[in-house]
Amino acid sequence: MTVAHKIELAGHLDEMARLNDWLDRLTRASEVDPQLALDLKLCINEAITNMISYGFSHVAEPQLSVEVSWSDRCARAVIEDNGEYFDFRSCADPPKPKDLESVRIGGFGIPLIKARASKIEYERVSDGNRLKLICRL
Amino acid sequence: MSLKVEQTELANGIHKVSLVGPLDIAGAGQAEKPLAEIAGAKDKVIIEMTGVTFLASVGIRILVMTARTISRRHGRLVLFGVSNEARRVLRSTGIDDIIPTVISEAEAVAECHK
Repeated sequence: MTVAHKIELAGHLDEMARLNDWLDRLTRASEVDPQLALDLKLCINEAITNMISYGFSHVAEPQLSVEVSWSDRCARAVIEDNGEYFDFRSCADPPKPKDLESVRIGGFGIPLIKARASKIEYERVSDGNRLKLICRL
Repeated sequence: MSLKVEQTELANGIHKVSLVGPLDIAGAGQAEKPLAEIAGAKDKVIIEMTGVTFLASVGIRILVMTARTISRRHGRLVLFGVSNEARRVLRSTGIDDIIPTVISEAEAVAECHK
């Protein structure tokens, strides 16, 4: 049986500490593979940081929810928000940095999600975004 | 959980920084000011990553900014004691190609003097 856990967050960066405390508690209380839990945590962190930083500029009361579940070799997260359209799957990856002067400061988050998630699904729902991230061992 | 930034002056002008805790958005916020101050004042800096329990892109951003500032003054920043997980993050982004990353403190000191 797969049990899903859900948290609701206000759409500001101060909420990330509460999110990560919640994820860490869930991980400790479960038997999920530590690597799988870390992969999912990284993907969730990067996706939500992006959304809060860029997706709520015209939203009066930004809100998100995160639902996570895992089974033997698979971890899933469903992130829903009431933000502007944001499907990062179409974003081009930045070039590999050559040196400290030319490297772009920032822009590392989406490549990290693409590197860690085995599957990324996106849909625009009535008043927001729904992102599904799946990590596998 | 918060991030701690511990600093030690070693011999030969090496400044050692130990980061302990998660380098997520909260941790990066706590590390930003001390690392900016170090980057503005120290030429040879080694950062111990052994205690970093989680590394997100915002943490990479802080490390790159610190390394760049030091490099512009012809100094050097070296990372050491990086966990396998953090190393994966650095490798995925290509940062381990532009910030020297070694295993031990002794190697970091030697790399800093190059």
